[in-house]
Amino acid sequence: MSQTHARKVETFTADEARVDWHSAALLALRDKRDLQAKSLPEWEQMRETASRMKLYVLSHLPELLEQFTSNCEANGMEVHWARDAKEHNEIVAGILKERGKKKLVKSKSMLTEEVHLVPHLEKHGIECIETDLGERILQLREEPPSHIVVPAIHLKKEEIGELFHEKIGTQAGASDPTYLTHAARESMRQEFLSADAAMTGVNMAIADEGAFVVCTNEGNADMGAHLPDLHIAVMGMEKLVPDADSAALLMRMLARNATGQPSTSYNSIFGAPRPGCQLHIVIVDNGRSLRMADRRHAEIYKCIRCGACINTCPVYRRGGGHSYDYFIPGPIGLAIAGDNPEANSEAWACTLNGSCNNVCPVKVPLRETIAYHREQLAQQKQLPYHKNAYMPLAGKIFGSPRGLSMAMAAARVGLRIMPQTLQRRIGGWSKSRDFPKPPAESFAHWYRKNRGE
Amino acid sequence: MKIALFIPCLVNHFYPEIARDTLELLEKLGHGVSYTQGQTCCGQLMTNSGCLDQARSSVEALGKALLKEPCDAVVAPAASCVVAARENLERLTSFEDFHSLAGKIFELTEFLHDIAPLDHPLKPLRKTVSLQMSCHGLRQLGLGTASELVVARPVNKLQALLSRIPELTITQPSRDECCGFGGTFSVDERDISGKMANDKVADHLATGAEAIVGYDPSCLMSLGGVVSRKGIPLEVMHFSALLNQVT
Amino acid sequence: MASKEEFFASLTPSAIEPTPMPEVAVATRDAPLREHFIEVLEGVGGRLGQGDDLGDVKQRAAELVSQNLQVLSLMEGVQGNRDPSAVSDPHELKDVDYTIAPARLAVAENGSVWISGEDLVTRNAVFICEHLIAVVDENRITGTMSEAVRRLGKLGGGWGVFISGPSKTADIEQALVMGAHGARSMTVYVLRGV
Repeated sequence: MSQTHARKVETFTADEARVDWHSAALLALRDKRDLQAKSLPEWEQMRETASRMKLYVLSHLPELLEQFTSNCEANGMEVHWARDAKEHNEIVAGILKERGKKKLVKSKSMLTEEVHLVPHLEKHGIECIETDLGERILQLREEPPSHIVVPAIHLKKEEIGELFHEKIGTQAGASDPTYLTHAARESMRQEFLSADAAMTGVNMAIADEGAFVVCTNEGNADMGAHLPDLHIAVMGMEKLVPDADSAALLMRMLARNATGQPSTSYNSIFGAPRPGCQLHIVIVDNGRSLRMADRRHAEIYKCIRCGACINTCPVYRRGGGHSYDYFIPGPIGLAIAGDNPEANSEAWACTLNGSCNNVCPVKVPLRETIAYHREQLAQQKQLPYHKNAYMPLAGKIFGSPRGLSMAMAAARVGLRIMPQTLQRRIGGWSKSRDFPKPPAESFAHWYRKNRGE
Repeated sequence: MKIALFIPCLVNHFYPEIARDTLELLEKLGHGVSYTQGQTCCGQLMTNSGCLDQARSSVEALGKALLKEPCDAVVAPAASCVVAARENLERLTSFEDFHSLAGKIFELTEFLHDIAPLDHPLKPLRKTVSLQMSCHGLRQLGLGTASELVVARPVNKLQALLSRIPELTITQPSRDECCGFGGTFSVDERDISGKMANDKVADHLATGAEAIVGYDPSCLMSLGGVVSRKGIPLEVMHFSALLNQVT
Repeated sequence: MASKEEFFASLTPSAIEPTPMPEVAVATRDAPLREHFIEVLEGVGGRLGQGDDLGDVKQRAAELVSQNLQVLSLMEGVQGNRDPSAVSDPHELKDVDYTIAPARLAVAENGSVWISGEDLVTRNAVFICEHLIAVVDENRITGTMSEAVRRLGKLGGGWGVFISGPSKTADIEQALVMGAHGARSMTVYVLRGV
């Protein structure tokens, strides 16, 4: 059993100024997202259409996968199938080793985090370079991302300056983002030029075209994919869309919702390999179809990984991305994996406020899915925070008008006689808040006395 | 209208003045109001933690108490309890009468805005208040348009009601973010919850208001706890107190 | 390693009820598209080329060449100092300062231009350069991404990219920096239509 989320946030929350800084950076993304969404009068209609389009996809996966595959093959690409992480990693290692490849440049892919690809390839002697700046920073720090879109959002520029000084030889003490970014550009350019294989993720796989879209701001996916003679694109099978119109709809929403840009700098549409080169696509299940077999869990795969739910989540912003057990933090991470009994407090790292539902461009019912995981864990008696013990008791007390009345009366008396200094030392609620001042009598009592029955 | 009051447990035992204000206000507006003894919890404490089975007897006891007096509408001065009562009466009980009861439970704001619109002349009140648009009311009951949504004409039912009070100045915090209460979240995740409550109070304070006014007593309890701990010069009140005072 | 058949056989059926495909509306925007495009282009860090005639592009290319910069022009009628037909491997373009490329479409709502692989000697020509100059006919500006994708026709079998401004990143403290891995600047010449 891992530590509770409440314990894991303690290091992060101990530095309140840093919490405020972190929260403000993410709120700035939320604000920019609001501006972009509000610039399109058809926004809510787009969300509804995108949601229904994804429901169509998820309820017609086998047909669409067949269609996508045969079209990709007709377009000269090779398609591979991985039922789980192990198969995925073996397929990728196999493609690279067969062709004697030694150095892979990869753009950001949450899937490769999910299946732990990089350590696997390194075991096979293949060097892997993360090319997204944020991911590269974390690779050099040997640390996981703390956000799916802005992976190094938890780091200060001074920390990155120190890292770059040590790893790529920037000036000691330098922390100007422009200077550091351009230094990384120079250093990464050499990696791009010397790589013999490239990997990208897939943002949308267009079934009726046999083509796929890759969206980046840095241009790293394209810079990587268009140099060596081998490009491997990896995708979870939920990335399918039926047609180009659907892909365009999602392209209109993705960057607007993620970072508040009208578009990512690059929307690259791959419909064929470069002449004389190879393009392989690896399609992955890895538990997706199993989760989709549960109706109350299934809609998480509508997700297009914009990260807006994470940006708006008040718990994520104040607790940081490393406080979660699952590699995807925030609402979408909880909705995917909040049913894990090994990390059973995750589903409670949420106030059920529902802001995430409202920003989601494809209407994933995040709040309801997280609440569902709580139900599942309750049924398995895997509740965190001592709830296995006190919830049945609470149920009994609250289920009896007399019991509830007596318990509440006792609580009022308790609060009245307990000195405030002691109240403040109880912890939990009273760590930062006073208890209410208890009234002399309940409303029910007053009503009986004054209004009779 | 013949109204049955649903007074959630927290209000009944810790904030009886909210219940009295609600009762008096509805009576002044000309409604026949009754209250039945034996009301328990909407089940939210348990269901928010996934403990549906543990909530059933409480929800049934609540349903039974509310059915004692026939009425046109059940009104409660607590948004999240209304959401939970409706949902839990539907999903945790199989008794037909409980299901139809669920359909006529209303939160006080929505009752005064949508069901029996407030058209009474109100006395002036010179005061500046900051609205606490708590999440369940905002996003589940639609008492306002949440800031995430792209809507041509945003609504705010609490503001619409209070703006009928002459001379009252209404402000709002810069964000409609959760105040961090979240039921047992406030205890389980004490650090994050406390920080959220502190941030929310600071946001209200920055509006220059004298009072935080809302429709959800549990959130107000959390904010009130911060105000008291820090000795912040802000009143924290349920909107029924304001309306009752000027009606 | 699974075959396709094994993969399909292992799929648990989705619990999502068969949902019909909704109609995906193609959003449109009204004129003036040229002004809208330019405004958004500048908002995403792109620049508008000075002049609206192919002659202005030619003149700019000549200026760049005269400054001893490496200029790869893929635009018919515009002369650089690198021979596109001599490029056999994209790595050869690592020292290119400017690539000048034709864009087949522009999108007003996001300030992007569509560059087709068919118009490039090699796909990386528009990424590896230090600076990118794209040239588009004002009659080829569409309102939205949806309209643009409709006009592209078939996507399978080729490659192309919508480029919206220069390469950028905000991965260090959310500070926006131009010139991450691709072109540090992007200039678009919008030519007056005939």
